[in-house]
Amino acid sequence: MNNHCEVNVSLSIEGTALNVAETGVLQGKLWACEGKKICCEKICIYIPVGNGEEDLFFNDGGTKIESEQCNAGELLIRQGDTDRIMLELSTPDRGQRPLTKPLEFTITGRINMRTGKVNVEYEYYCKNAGDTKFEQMSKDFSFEKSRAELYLQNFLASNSESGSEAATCFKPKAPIYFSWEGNGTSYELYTSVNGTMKQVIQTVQKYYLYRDGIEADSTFLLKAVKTRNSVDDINGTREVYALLTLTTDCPSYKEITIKEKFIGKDSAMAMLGTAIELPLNKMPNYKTLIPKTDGILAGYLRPTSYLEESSATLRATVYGDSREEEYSVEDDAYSVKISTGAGEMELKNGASVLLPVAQGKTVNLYWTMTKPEQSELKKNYDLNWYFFPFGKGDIQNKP
Amino acid sequence: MSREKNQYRTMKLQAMVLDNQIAGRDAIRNWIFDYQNLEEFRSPEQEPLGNNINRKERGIWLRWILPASLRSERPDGGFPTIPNRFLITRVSVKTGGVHSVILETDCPLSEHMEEDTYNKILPYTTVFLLSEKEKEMLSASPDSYRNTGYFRKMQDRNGYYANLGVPFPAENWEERDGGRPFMSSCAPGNPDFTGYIRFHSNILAYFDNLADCAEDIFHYSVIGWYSSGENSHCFYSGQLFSVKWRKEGYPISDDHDPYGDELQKIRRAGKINVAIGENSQDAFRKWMVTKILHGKEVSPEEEHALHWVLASFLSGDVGKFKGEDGGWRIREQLQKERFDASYGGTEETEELDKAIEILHSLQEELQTIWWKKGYLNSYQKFSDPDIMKKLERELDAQSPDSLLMQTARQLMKVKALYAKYENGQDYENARQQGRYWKGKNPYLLISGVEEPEDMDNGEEQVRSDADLCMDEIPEPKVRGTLPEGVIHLYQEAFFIIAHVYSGRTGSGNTPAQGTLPDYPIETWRQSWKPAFMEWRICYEDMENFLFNGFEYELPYLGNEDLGRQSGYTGRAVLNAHKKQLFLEQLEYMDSLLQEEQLKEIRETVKKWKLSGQEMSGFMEQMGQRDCRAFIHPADCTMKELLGYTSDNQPFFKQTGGGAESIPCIKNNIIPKYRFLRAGKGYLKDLILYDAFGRTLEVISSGAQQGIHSSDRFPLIGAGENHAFPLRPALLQPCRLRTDFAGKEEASFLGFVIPCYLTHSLLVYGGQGEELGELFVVVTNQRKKKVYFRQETARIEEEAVLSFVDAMEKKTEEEFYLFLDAIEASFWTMEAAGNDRDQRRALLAGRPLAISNVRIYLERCGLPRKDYGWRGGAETPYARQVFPVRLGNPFMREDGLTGYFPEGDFSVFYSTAKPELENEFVKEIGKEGSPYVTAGFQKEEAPALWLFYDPLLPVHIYTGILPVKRIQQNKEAVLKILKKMTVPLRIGPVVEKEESGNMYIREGNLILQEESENRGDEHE
Repeated sequence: MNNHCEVNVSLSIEGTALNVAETGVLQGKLWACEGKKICCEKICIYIPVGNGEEDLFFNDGGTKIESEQCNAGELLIRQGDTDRIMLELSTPDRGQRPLTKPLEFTITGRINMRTGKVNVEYEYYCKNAGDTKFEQMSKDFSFEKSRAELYLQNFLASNSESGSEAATCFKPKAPIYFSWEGNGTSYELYTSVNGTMKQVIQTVQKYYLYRDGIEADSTFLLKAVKTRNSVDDINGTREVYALLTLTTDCPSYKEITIKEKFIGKDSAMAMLGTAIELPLNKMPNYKTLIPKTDGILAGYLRPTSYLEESSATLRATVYGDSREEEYSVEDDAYSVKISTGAGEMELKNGASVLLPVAQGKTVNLYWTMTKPEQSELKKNYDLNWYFFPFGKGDIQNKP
Repeated sequence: MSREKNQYRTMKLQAMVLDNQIAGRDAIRNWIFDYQNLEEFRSPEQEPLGNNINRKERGIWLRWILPASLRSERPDGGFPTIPNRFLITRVSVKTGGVHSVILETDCPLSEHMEEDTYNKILPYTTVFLLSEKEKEMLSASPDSYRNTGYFRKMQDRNGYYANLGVPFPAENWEERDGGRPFMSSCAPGNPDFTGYIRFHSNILAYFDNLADCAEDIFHYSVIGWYSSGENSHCFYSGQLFSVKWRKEGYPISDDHDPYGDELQKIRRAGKINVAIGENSQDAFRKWMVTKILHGKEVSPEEEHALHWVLASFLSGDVGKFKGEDGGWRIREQLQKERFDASYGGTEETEELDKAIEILHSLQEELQTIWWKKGYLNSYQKFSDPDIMKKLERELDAQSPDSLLMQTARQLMKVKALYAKYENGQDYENARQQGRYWKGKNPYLLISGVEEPEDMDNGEEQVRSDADLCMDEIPEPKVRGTLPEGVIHLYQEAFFIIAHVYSGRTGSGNTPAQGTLPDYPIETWRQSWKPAFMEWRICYEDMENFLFNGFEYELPYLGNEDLGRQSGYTGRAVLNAHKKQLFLEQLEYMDSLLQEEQLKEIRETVKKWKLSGQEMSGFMEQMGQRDCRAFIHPADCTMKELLGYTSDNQPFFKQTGGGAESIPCIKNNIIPKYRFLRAGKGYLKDLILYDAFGRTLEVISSGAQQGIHSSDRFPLIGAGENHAFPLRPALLQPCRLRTDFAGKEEASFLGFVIPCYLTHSLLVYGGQGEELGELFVVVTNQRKKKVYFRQETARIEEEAVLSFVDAMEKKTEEEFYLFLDAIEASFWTMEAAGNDRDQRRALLAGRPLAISNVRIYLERCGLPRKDYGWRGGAETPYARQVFPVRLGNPFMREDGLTGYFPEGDFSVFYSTAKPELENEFVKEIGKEGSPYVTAGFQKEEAPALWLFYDPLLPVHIYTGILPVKRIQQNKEAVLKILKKMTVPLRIGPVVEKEESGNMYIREGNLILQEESENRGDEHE
């Protein structure tokens, strides 16, 4: 014969109410009354889920129960129009021996959008040590859902994800790891470009790795947005802002190479340098350029697939000068040797040209591609031209 | 009895350090295979992406991977018994301190245990399901731990639950139990038992609690053996070198990571790509194409071509796709890859096969009803009494109409038929029927991660006593009574420890005597090789798939409609077999590539980090089935009715099996009934975890961030809005039937040969006998008319006669259009055989067979019903029809010219396009000439008169099944063709019939009236 088993149970929240649209945490506990020895087989917590006033969490499958002492499971139960999630905790030995310490667990889930009062059923199966049958008992707990103010704080930048030290000065183009705290539904990060704000990212996360980094002193603006998601949200969409200014530690440094990729098949080619780009439309097999400064012109041709035999030649000539100054390489072998005048250079799977050019001299760039007959699949190339100016100025296309 | 010589095999040892940093940073997937759920009619397997056990333990998790021979299924379907004793030794590299425990994996938690020990061990034991016999054996043991063990009996069943796996201090340990080892490498209902620590904690894994140790470097050795039985001479060992331990953990940065943590490296690099495909080949090709074309702009045609190149390469038979029809063969291959085949029976045993199929359908329905009732009983407070009553009606043994009794009757029928067909008969050479086909599950391919070592099934090293490496170095003594083989391995372990840590032995060095064990002698790293994936897909039906005559075209995937989506989840064991397949195919490339090139490619491919798996359970869930482990009935009658008997009689082997899944009750809701998958999917969540449960969230739809967020990550194989297409596929195995009317041997109604010289059509009977000729004559009313000149006095082939009659009613223009259509189809047809007579080809076309074919779809078993709580009613499934295209004019190896619907000669549906638009000859699939539709109703199936070259196959396209080829038996066809003669009548010649009618051929324009012989009037 079983004696009634006296057990204490609790289910509590931090503070007096749960905030709608935020992650809600319920702390649960089960323990024996003073001087009693009890065995616990399992605990079932029934939580109403959905979008209604009387539902606690969204029915999004994101409700979790965690415990160090028990195994956890879950089951959604539909009865009429009501969905309830049953979160189940079972002791590893299903109550074979009495509890030596209280059973503790945590429930987390996303609180829905509606304010109101919700009821949670706490069901537990316990017995007094020595008894044979477990007794099913239950207790109801109710919680209030209310609306929280939107906040945004601790908008920080640091060098890396793991480094928690905030920084305000960065190397040019070094990745910046932003982090912040807030309760917005989404966040927008902006940076100032030529006086106007440009969006960097819109995210629901509370961090962002800005891989591009900054080249000059920059100001970042973070906006937290809380959208109006429920009928009783009279405030509508709300926003709060935070600002952060970052500086670079080497402001005089200015990189001049910008890459573009081209595909050989369409004979597209471009020149890259300070602020000048060649058009990307159909190009002839050569291009003429007049540098406004001395510099080095570098071309790099790389086949990007090896489906069919074909080859391409890359040439650059200083216009009007003797043939000796023509630099040309072919990629018809896996490995080619080219002479640049400055020694031999071995290249694999591609070809490149380095050409010193003088201010005002016309430079012709050639690029030809040969294809064996009956070849169906084409070989594609990446072609990059870089111009490294020695002085101020740029290059321009000859009309 | 002679004692067998000791055998020594090696195990791979792995360790996961769980320090403060890692425990705080990494999510650990912790869930157990909870057999106790069975009693509530739930699966012991947790819902994928479900709740965790969250333990804040600090220490080192050890697991050992048994040799492949112990992990592999035996030919009889069973699994090998695994060792039940393990000596685990931890040596401090800093202090030399040694700590050993002996794990008794078959020891239950028991009354005999002290409170403290019990509570310490409890969280790490494994809940196991014991049979009555195993429980009795443990209870009868002389050992007080076993005979006072806690065994919880299953309700109404002979099974017991017990928490197994107890470690004991090695000091003074001695064998207390003489029982037979009973655990195998596959736990009841859990084939993944050896793959995940929470399934085998304290059995094949051990948690070394180091909460009291601040910092050290450890060496681990594990030695396993069998406590008794026929394997007592087999011993297993593994070692781990230099496992770093620091309770506080290390701050990890790009250039400083003392653990060499692979998971962290993957996270930092973020270089994980996920490709999704309709099947494994599709996903692999998409990944390969993306890899090859990375950063390049190519046209869709070029990309398509690359897909085909890869498809032919991976098929293992590149030659098959050469030639003019190569592209079509690839398309056929790609179509076939989308389906799984199942046995379709034989022609000789069709009656029995059909009865078994129906029995299986009834069993699945009955099991569904039985299971639903059990489930509702477990959650009584939520159950609906009406539903309960309905379920009970079907299980009523007193009611002859109940499902239970229907199944019983069908079982009796199958037994009787089995006796008729199977007893003593040999059907080895029986003619196979076409197989049934069902849509495959989508496949996920993940690049950037490697497959776990558990998948390594390479050769095993087996050593004898003479091979062990030992010298004079004295090992610390383990006091206690250990088998001799264990002592030897223990000595060897300390020999290796001494040599490794003094730098004397490296992995390449060989000791003076013996053979080094083949486990890696290298410093430990915190490795991470995912073993499992859990996923969630949201699926949405789409109605705009268009059948283009050959397959269903991919529609515009449109915007995401969250309101109409169904969510499906699953868990799967990852492997790298696609990479292996690619490597295997390379072997066949030796004629195209040089050895050096091949070697280079092979090395590159080996470096690919690829893992993947079918999203198993997806199609089943769409079909309202759940493939996770489930409870079987205890009642013997029910067991037999459902085919769950363990009876090994040939009858049950042949017919048994029963339902392999339960109704899919996901969170109390049974998914919407479907019979067809045709829509789009969104991959919403994807987590990967290794055997220790360390988790990488790759894709996440929730607030917690994966490497990628579900609405932003670049899923290879997905289109707009990250949706991926799931083209139409049936959820129940089906096949396309083409039943030929007529006698069995000769399925030809007749033959025709077009005669170019005389613009006529020679007509033959089903056995090749000449019947006559159709041609155009001019009547004496100066009207042109199609006329049939009958060769024999009486034609018995009524079918051919009806064709001839119909043709006689056609106009001259229609007759020639018909002849033109036949001729045009010949242009694109391949000549069958090389001996084609070119001269004959100028005079006459090739013989075309005429066959009457009925086309319909056939399901394996009864049409699947709606398994929903209130389901079971008639669904649109029963009457659903699908377009079917016959013949392929673009393929040289397709013999179809066209067809008439049976008994209706008003339109000839031609594969070739007629030169003029007309009402008689229409091109198949063009406006006004829709495709034939086939459904599941045999009686309503369209019957067609096919005109085709009987030496070539006819292709039938449905898009929902692989391409079907009808191919006549060549020998039988040639036998008939050889009998046929082609009389060429070159006019003008006057001919006279018995009736006295005279005819002049070709432009002589005179048809004699009866009895008036005006033959002399011809020019």
